[in-house]
Amino acid sequence: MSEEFEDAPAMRHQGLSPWLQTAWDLRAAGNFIGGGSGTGLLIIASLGAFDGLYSRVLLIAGLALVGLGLFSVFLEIGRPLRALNVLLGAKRSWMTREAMVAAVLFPLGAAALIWPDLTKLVWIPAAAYLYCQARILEAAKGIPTWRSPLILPLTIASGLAEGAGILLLLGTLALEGGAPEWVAGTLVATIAARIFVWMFYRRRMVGGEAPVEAAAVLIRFSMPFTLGGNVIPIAFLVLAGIQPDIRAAALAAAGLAAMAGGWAMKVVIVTKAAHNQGFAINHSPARGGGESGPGFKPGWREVPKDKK
Amino acid sequence: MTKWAIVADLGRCVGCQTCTTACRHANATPPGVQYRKVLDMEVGTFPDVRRVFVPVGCMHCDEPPCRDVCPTTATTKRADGMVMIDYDICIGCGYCIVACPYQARYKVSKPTFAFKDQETQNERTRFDERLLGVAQKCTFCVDRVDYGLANGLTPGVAPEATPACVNSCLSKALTFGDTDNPDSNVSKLLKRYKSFRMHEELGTGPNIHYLWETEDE
Ligand code: SF4
Ligand code: SF4
Repeated sequence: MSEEFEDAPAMRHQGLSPWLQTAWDLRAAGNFIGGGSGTGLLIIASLGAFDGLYSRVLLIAGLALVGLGLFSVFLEIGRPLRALNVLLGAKRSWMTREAMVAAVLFPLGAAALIWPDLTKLVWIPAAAYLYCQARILEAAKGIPTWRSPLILPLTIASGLAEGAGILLLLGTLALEGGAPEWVAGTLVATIAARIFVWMFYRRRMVGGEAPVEAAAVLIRFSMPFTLGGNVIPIAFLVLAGIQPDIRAAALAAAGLAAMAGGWAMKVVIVTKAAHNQGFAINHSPARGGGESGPGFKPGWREVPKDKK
Repeated sequence: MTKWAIVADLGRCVGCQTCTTACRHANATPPGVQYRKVLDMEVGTFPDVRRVFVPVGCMHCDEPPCRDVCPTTATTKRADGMVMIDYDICIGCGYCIVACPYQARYKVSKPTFAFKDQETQNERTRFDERLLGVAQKCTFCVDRVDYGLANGLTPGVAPEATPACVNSCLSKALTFGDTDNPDSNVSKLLKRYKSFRMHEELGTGPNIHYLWETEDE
């Protein structure tokens, strides 16, 4: 819960239209950032192991990102001493399932630091973790921009794009000979998937599946995201291909931009385009001898149902 | 079976907020936390404008998304349909708050009182440490309902067994009862008059029903 809310809790309940949720702030977004990027990196590095890629730096970076994400959620909960209770709800909650998968991912990732062959297995819990993250957002039925079924492919595609981006970046900085050739291709494919889903997602939200204010946030973000997080990385990749002397720097820049784009998208979806459902009535009642009247759904585009 | 519900007659509610006040007294909720509140809507455009007062709160949904997301099982649903929070298990992750499409849940981390740090007698008496840092919401006054049932009273009929908001309503806009019993007060109202439920398209099965046409046909 944000400090802002704690200082002025009464303010947020005065309206009828959807208002921006404050229960999950940047700390919650941090979980989707760290978890998405970290698992994206681990999945690609793990699959790369079949092609002979092995790097402790990549494994450590992936696990550290996931760990940082989890830690940032830990900072948000109201009763941190009871944090282990998070494991009780496996029957229904994707948050519990995420925590349980983490309990497999970390030991396996740590073991792969010692026994490189195990790297080939890391993608399994990493993919499960990324899937849980997507389902966490989708299950939040009170936030229209999260509960969309498109949030699933969007979160997964972005996690993979961020992971490929980080691999390119770390490849330049820390791997001897840089990242393997195929990573750039993976980045192009995952960015293409992400922007493709984003276009549909944005269109559905603007088309009436999200409150007007939340849709407006997405509209404002769409152009900078498309260019900065998706077109620019591709431009850098092209540059790397045609200018060998700046190849390393261009690949790193492409990776960085793809990662930053995903992070920005998560900050926007979790903390800025996160308006709740608001209130609505299907009919307004007759008063005295008058007629009953139309419904009312403030803050939404759709026209309320008229009286039957 | 039993399924507790509230029927709110929109034609009767005058927006006096007595139910809001009764709830705040019964639960000593801190500033900004309102388990029950009455929305003041102005519908239509001039000259065809009407004012509607809409009591809202936890709908004790049939399929509560708050329960489905809860990672600790702190949020549960009783056999009689009441959605409850175990304050001793909840970790205050706030997931249920974003999962509830009715904005019915709250989380307060520090003690706050009506007059800043100076609590009223009621707030002092009813202050419950366990509610700090965890999720909280309307309980349909479960203690009163359970007390009534244990003593052979009918919730919704006997005031001692009825939620404080319903008892306090001065225009009889609120009725509490068992929708699974076809002869109950609420079932009779729902049979006789037209009603709707809020955000029903989300599949939550909310258990506050709004009567919108109560004139006899
Ligand atoms: S109204 Fe909200 S808090 Fe109450 S049961 Fe439904 S989803 Fe849960
Ligand atoms: S805040 Fe408490 S009741 Fe709500 S989801 Fe988290 S653990 Fe469950």
